Amino acid sequence: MSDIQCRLITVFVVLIGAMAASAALIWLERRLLGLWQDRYGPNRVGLFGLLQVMADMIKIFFKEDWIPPFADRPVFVVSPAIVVAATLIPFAVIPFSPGIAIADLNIGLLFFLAMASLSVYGIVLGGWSSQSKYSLLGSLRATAQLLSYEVFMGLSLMGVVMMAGSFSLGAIVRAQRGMWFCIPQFVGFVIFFIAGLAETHRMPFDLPEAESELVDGYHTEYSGLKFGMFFVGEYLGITFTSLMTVTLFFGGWLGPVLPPIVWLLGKTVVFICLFILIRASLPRPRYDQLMSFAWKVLLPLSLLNLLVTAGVLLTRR
Amino acid sequence: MRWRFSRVDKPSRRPEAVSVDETVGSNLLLSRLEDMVAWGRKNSIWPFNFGLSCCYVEMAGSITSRYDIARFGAEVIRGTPRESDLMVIAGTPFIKCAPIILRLYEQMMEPRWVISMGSCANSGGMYDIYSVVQGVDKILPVDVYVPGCPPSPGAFMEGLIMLQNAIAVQRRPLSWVAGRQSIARPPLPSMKDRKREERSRMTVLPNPDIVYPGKGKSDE
Amino acid sequence: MNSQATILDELKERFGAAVLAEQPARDAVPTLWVESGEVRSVLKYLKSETTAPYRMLYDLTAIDERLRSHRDGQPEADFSVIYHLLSLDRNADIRVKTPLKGEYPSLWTITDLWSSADWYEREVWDMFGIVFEGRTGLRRILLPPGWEGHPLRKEHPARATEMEPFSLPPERQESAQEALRFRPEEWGLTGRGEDTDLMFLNLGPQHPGAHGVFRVLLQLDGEEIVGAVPEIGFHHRGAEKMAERQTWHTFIPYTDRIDYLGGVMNNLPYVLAVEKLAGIEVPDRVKVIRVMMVEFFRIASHLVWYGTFAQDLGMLSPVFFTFNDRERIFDIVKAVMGGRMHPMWFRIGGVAQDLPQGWEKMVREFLPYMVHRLKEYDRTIMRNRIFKARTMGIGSYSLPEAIEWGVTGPGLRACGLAWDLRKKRPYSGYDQFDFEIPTAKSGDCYGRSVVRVEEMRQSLRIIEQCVNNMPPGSYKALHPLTTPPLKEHALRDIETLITHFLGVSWGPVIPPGEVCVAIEATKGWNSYYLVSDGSIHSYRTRIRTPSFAHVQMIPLICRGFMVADLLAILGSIDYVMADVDR
Repeated sequence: MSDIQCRLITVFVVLIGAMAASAALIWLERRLLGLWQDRYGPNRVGLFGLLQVMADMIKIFFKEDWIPPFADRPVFVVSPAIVVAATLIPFAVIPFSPGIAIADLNIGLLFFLAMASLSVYGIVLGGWSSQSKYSLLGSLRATAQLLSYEVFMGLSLMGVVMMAGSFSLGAIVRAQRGMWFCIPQFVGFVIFFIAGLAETHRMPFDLPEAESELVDGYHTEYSGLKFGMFFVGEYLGITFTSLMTVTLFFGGWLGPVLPPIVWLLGKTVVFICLFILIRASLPRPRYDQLMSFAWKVLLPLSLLNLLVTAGVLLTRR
Repeated sequence: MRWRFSRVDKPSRRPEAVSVDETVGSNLLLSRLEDMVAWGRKNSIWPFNFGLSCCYVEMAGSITSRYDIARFGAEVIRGTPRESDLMVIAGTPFIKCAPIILRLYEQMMEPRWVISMGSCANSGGMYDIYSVVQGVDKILPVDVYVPGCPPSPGAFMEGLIMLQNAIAVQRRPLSWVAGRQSIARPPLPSMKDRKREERSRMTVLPNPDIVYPGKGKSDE
Repeated sequence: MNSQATILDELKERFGAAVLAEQPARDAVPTLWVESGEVRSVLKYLKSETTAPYRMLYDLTAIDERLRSHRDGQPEADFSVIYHLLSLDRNADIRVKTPLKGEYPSLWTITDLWSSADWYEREVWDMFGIVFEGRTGLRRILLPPGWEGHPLRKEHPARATEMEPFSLPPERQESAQEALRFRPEEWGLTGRGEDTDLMFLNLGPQHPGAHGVFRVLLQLDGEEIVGAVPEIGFHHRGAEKMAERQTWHTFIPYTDRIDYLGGVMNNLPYVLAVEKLAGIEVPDRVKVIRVMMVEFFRIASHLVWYGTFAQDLGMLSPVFFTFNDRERIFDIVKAVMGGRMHPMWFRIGGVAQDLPQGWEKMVREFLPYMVHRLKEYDRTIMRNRIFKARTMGIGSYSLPEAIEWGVTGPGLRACGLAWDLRKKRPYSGYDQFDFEIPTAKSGDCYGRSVVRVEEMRQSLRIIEQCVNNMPPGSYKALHPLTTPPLKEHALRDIETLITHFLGVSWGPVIPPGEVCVAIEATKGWNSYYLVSDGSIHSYRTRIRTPSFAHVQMIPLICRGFMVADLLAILGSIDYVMADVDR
C-alpha cells in the first residue's frame, strides 16, 4: 500500500471515529446523567438505548430546515460548518499510537491552539447573523469567554512545552515516559482543564447558551441540521479536549501490556466522564464572575506556573 | 348575543389527510426510507420548554426520576421552538395568551406535534370564564388530548407514548419536489373504547380508608 | 381590641365629618367609611402620622355594591374602594372604605403614598372601571389591551360560553401581536443612556427562566439592567368572578389552583373565612389534620422552588432530587386525600374524610428521610461556593422597602423580621405547636433561600407533632352549615339528610357579613376577603395573593444587576403566575 493510501485510510478512520465517538458520547452523557440523577436515561431504542442518537440524527436530518428571513443568510449558513470543521481539523495532530497520526506536525500544539481560536468564529458569527437579541447576547458572551480562556489555555501548555522541549505532540507524549506531566505540571493541568471546559462552553461555563437566561443563546434561531451541527460540534469539542488532556498530561498512549490505542481511548473516556460529572453537579457562575476568575486567578497562576517551571528546568540544567 | 354555528368536523388548519394504507407499499425503497424516518421521529420527540400553568409542573414531573420520559428519548427539553418537535399545551390557554401560543406554534419547524395536556387545554375544563379559550384546538391543531386536572405525570407519559405510536405510522412528504405532498396520518384511537374491556373486568373498588403501601389511590 | 378602639376614635376625632360610618366586620378588623375626597389624608395620617403607623398597604380592591341587599348602616354607594392597611408594630389591621357613586366613578390615586398601589389601582380599573386620577399609566393589567368591559362589574358575563366564541383569525392574531410590541416611550423609558445606547430585551411571555407566562421588558446597558417593566395578566383565570358564580362549597376546587404548588394550603384561608362567616367551630382533629396537610404542601412547594431555583442558576441535578422527594410527599397526599397537586380536600366545617388506616406509618417513615435529604441539599446547594457567589448580595431589599411594597412570607423574614402569621395570629391551632420562625439578615436571594430551607425543617417538626398528638374525634363539625355534613349521619338522620341535600344540590346559605382571613401560605400571606350577601354565592371574593406584591417589586430590586442575576432574583422570589394573576 502506498503512503498516500495509508494516509487516506488514517484520515478516514479518524474522521469516522471522531464522529462516532461524539455520537456515542451523546448517548453516554444522557445515560450517565440518568445514573447520577436517579433515573434511567434513554433505554428503549436498541440495546441499552444505544440507537437513541441514531434516532435523534435521523430526526434532525429530516427536520424542516429554515433560515429566518431577518438573518444574514450566508453567514448564518456557514457558521455551523465553521464550528464543526474547526473542531474536526485539530484531530489531525493527535498521535493515537506510536507513529499513527494524520500529521505529526512539529508545531502540532500551535496548530491546535490556532484551530481552537477559529472555532470561536463559528459561534460568534452564528449568534451575530441570527439578528436576534438573545443570540447576540450569547455570542457576545462567547466572544469574551472563549477569547480570554484561550489565553490561559495557551499559557498553561507552555510548561509542558518547556519540559518536553518540543511543540510536537508525539514528542510530548514520548517525553512522558518517565513521568506523566500531570505531576510536575499539575497547576498547568488544572488550568488547562478549566480552560477546556470554558472553550467547549460546557456547563458550568455554558454562558453562551445558558438556557435559563438566554433561551438557547447563540443557536436560538437555528433549527434542523444546522442546529444539529452546533450540537455535534459541542460533543466533538469535548472528545477533542479530553484527548488533548490525556496526550499532554497523562502520557497519551503510554501504558503497560495493553495496546497503546486502548490506553489512549481508555484515559480519554475517563475525562469525558469527568466532563459529564461536572456538568451534572455545578451551578453556572455569572458572566463577570467568570471573567474575573479568568483574569484575576487563572492568569497570575499560569504565569507563576510558567516561571516556576522555567526556574526548575534552569537549575536542573 | 349572537351565536354562530360551525361544524364539529370542519377541516382545521392541517392539510388534507391521506389514508395510510393507500401510500404504504407504493414504492419499496421509498417506503423503507420513510419507515426509517418515522422511526427516528418517533424516538426523538424533543419537547418545547413551554408551560402555562399547573399542568406544566406535572409535565416537568414526568421528566424527573420517578417517571423519566428520558427513557423514550424525550427529555431533551429545548428552550427555543425552532429546535423542538412537540409543544405540550400544559395549562390553561388564556385569551391574552392565545396569540402567543399560536405564534410559538408557528415558530416550530415541521414536523411538529401538539399534546393538549389537561382539561383546560382540552376544553376549558372547569374554567368556563371570560378570560379563557375553551379548548386550545380553537386556535391550533392538536394530536393527542390528555385528560386530567392536572393529569398525573403517568397520564402525560401515556399520551406521549400514544403520540409516538401515531408518529411511527404517520407518513410525511420527504421532499418538496418528489412524492406526494400530503401527510398520511391514521385516526387516533379513543382510549375510552380501548380500555373499556379492561376496566369492566374490575370487580373490587379500592378501599379509600386504607393506605396501600407504595401506591396511591388515584394514579395507578 | 383596645388599640382598635383608640385608632377609630383617633380618626373620628381628627377627621370628624369625613368619617361617614363605622362598620362592624366578622373578623373584628376596624372598618371605617371615609368620604372619597378625604381618603388620601386619612391614609396619609395612618401611614406616617399616627403612633405605630400602618406602613403596609396590604390590599387595595373594590366592590360593585349595586346589587347588594345587606348593607346595614353602610353609606350609599354604587362602588366602594377598600384600602386594607397593616401595622406590623401594632400587629393590627385597619380597613378604610370609600363610597363611590355613578357608572364609572373616579377617585384620586394613592400611588404617591405607596408605590405598591400602582398595580392594585390598575387592577381595580381593569376589573371595575373605577378611574384613578392624578396618575399615569392607568392601563389594563390582567386583561389584554382592547378588552371591552370590566369583568368584576355585575353586568359583565362570567362564562366564556355566554360570550362570542373565541377564534383567532390571522388579522386578529396580527393585531394582538402588534399590541404586544413594546413601546418604551409609553413606559417613560428611552433608548439613550448617559453616554451609551441602551438595548431593550423582551424576556417572556415565554421564557425558560420566567417560571410561567410572565413578561419582563428589560432596558439593558450591555448586560446590566437599567430598567425593567414586568407585565402580567397572561394567567388570569378570573377566580374572583368564578367565586360569584359557584356556591360557597363548589368554589373550593378553584382555590387549589390559585397557588398551584400550594394544594390544600389554598383551601385553608377560604374555608377558615367561610367558617368565620358561618360561625362554625371545627373539632380539634380537623385543625390538626389541616395543619399537617398544609405543612406537607409547604414542604412540597418549597421543594419545587429549591430544585428550580438551583436550575435557574445552572445546576442540572437538584431538580431531579427535589422532585423525587416531592413525589414521596405526594404518595402520602394521595393516600390521605386521593389527589396529587390539587386534592381540594378541605370542606366548610371539616375535611372531606377521615385519615386512612396506616397513615402514621407513612408519615413516620417520611420524616427522618426528609431530614436526611435536607442535610444533603445543604451540602450540595446551599454551601456551594458558586451558588453563594450567585445569590449573596443579589436582589436585596431592606426591611422598610419590604414593608412599603407589601412583601410578606419568607421574603419579609429574609430581612430580619421574625413575623409569621402562624405565631403572631395563630389560626387553626398553630399556637399549640412548637416551632421556630427562621429569619435571615441580608434580604438578598441567599437570605430568602436560607429562610425557605429552614422553614422546611420547621414544617417537619410541626408534622411530627401532628403525628404524635393527633386528637381523636370527628373530622367534621356538627354545625348545619358544614358542607356536606357527615355522610354517616345523613343516611340515618332525616335532619342531616335534608341539610346534606340542600348543601349539595342548592348550596349552603352563608349569613351576610364581611370577613378577611389571612394565612401564612407557601409564598407569603394569602387572604380571602369574603363578602356574603346571605345567599349561596359569595357576593364578592377578593383573593389577596403574596406573589402579586412580590412580582411588582421586581424593577426595584433588579436594577443595576445583570441579566443572569435577574433570573436568580425571579427564582428566589418564588412566585407562581396563577398566584399573581389569579
